[in-house]
Amino acid sequence: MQAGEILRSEHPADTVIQIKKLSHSYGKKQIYHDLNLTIKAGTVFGLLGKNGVGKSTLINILMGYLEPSAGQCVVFGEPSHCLSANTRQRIALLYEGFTSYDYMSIQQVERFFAPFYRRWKQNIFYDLIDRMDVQLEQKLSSLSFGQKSQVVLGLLFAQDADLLILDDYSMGLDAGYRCLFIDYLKNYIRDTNKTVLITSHVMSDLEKLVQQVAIVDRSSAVYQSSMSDFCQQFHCYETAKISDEFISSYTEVHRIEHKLNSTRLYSFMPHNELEQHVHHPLTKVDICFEERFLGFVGKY
Amino acid sequence: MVYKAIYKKEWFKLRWSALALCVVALSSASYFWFNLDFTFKSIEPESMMWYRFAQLEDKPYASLAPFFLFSALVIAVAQFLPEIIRNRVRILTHLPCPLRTVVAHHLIAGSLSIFSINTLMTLALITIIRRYYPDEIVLVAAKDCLFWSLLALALYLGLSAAIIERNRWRKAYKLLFPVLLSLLYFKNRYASQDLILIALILWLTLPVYDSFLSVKVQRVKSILYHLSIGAVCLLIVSVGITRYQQEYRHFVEQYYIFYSPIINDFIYQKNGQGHQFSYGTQTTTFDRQEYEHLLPFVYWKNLDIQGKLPFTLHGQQYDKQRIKAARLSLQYHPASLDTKEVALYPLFNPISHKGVIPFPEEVFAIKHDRIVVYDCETIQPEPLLTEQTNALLKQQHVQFPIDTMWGKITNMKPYDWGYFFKDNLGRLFNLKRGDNTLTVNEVLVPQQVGEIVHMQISENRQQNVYGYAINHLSQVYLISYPNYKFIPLRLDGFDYQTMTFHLISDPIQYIVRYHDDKIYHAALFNRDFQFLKSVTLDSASSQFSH
Repeated sequence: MQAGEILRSEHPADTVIQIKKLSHSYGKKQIYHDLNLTIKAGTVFGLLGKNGVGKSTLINILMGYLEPSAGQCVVFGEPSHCLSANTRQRIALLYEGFTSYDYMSIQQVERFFAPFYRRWKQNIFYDLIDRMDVQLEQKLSSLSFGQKSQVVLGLLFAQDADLLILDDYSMGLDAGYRCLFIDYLKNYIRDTNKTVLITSHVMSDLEKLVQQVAIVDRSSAVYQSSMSDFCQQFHCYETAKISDEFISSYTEVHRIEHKLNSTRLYSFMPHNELEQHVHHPLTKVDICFEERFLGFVGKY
Repeated sequence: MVYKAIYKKEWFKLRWSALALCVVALSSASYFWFNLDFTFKSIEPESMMWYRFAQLEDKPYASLAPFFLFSALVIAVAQFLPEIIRNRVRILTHLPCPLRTVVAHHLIAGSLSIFSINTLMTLALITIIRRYYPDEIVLVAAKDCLFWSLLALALYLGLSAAIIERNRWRKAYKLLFPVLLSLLYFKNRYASQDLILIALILWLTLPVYDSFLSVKVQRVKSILYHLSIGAVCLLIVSVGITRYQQEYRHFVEQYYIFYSPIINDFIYQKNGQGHQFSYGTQTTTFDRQEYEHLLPFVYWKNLDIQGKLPFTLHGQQYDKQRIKAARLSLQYHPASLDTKEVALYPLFNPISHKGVIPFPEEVFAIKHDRIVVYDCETIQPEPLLTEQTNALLKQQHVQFPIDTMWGKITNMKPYDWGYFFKDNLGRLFNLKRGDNTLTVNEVLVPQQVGEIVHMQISENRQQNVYGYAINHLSQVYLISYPNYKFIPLRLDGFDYQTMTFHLISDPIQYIVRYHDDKIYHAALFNRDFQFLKSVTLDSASSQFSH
């Protein structure tokens, strides 16, 4: 029995990605410690975190480009570092920075990738390209970054893969291209069982897209939840100016943020309960997902 | 379709570099043509250029050799540098196709580019060479180009492996392979054992595959691969040592041993480092002045300047003419055993009443079953001379293929004794031309001489000896003139494969000194070549023995 077969037998059929007890560090800086993560088929999973906390590291480990210090990553039942060609066929991968063959034209790059994928959807690729004012003979290097990103995304969507891993799709894109991408992605995965693992630091785009989140911060712990639970359970409260020393004794407070004349507290605890704990009157503040995310990971 | 996609991608990437290399190839070849044409027009006769190629191994196209390696460097960089910029190589490793297939087709694409560019250069070079040289030289040029192309492929693969590799240390050692291979196999003359380059080229695909695997933190795990790295390292070391010995090892004579007719003893000059010399016999040492005084036949010119000639020794008077007339020097070095890459020999034709020997327009080539005489002006066989030569060879029952040809291949000699050669049956013949007459004579070699492994022909004014011959047992014979008598020289301990010798004559005696860098011997003979005495000097202990 091969190692891959053992993993497959332990791997539930609806699980696309399974990470077990994964640890990784760069020198003395630990990025992940004993991370367990499961992504089910059909899920849009957001791997969120500020710049430099290890989102791309996890993607690189998942795709076998990095070797974790410990633990195991399994994608479609196969160890991530030695995925078979058939499994790679099922995974569309967007590399950070929209890496592609800049010396090829739009048409050439499509013709290059097409023969490798059995389910190649040429119409999807050209549908995205047609939305831009570009010539098919134009080299990728001559396109604007936004235009190039559309070409790369077109190549990804055309693969008709079961799993899309989109590493920092928003990098370098203006609001227009980001919107175009999110709208297209939503339509693309609607009524399908496609799984999406997406990383970004632009939170506003993700709120209505992502179903499950894992938030990576500078600690080696990773917060995992559904998007709706996170939005419903993680609150922001405001109170009169209080000191850090006073509040630091309350573990229920996730983060404290000082404003000019007030202090904001971020916590998973409901309003009343937290008020009783901190013995201070609190006002619940309505915040967007991005503020909620920053409340969780901190601004600095 | 997948393969086609890869080749197309590589074509888009490599086309401009390949085109630029083609332009460089054609420009370099054009310049080479211009230069060669100029050289041929400024040298008279043209056969001198053939002589330089065949006898001095002066290959005019050698300056084009770096192009072959340059093409490999350019293609490797043009093909794989874009892959590592922004880590594009990850795209390749994620393609839904076995990685070894992806790697193989990339390498085939790169290799085909290099092969095509180098073939263009080779064809251009061959086309040019054919206009000036005979087929024998054209074949050598084609062979050299083939080996340079093979070396280019090895360099390409090694560089590709180093460029793609992610680990810094492994990158360094993978870079070391092509660098060392280039140093060791970039040379002027190739032999069949250099075909090991083909095996190295095939092996080098493994480090490239290993480098691609490194992108996904994988390695070639086969124990055979790791063992093969050791084997290749050993091969490189062994080839390196051999090459070093071939190129740089030279016999440094630490001792010059002479025989002084004044004190009737062997005396030496020790050549120390830093131009330090010491002189002496086995029992005493002396200064340079004394040393020169003890060797009047060696330093006779000093005596001449000092007005001390003629001088009297043992009742005999020796003047300048007598000393000069007796002088003869014959040397041997194991490197003399190396055969020439091209068997082309100028067919001298001294005209006795005209004086110095002109360099001939005719050159003969030894073929498998005949000799072909070329006319250098037309680069075509000279039918009459060719026919005449082969008729004479047939008349003498010469059996082809001819084994070895010996001769003093220069016109800077008082007269020409032609060439001596061994036929397929081991019989010795003398082929020469003079006064427009070609002759082939069998030289009867006494049975006890056995197999001759080397001959040195020396056209000297004394006309005592044709030169010397060495047989397979390292016995040295002088060949007397004009009766081809084989006179054995007793040189105890002489080994033709490892030792040099130097025969020097003066009006009283002959001395032959021979050594292997460690043990120095000298043997003294009278004017009738009868052994008188010998001495051995161990350079390590500086001790004499008789």
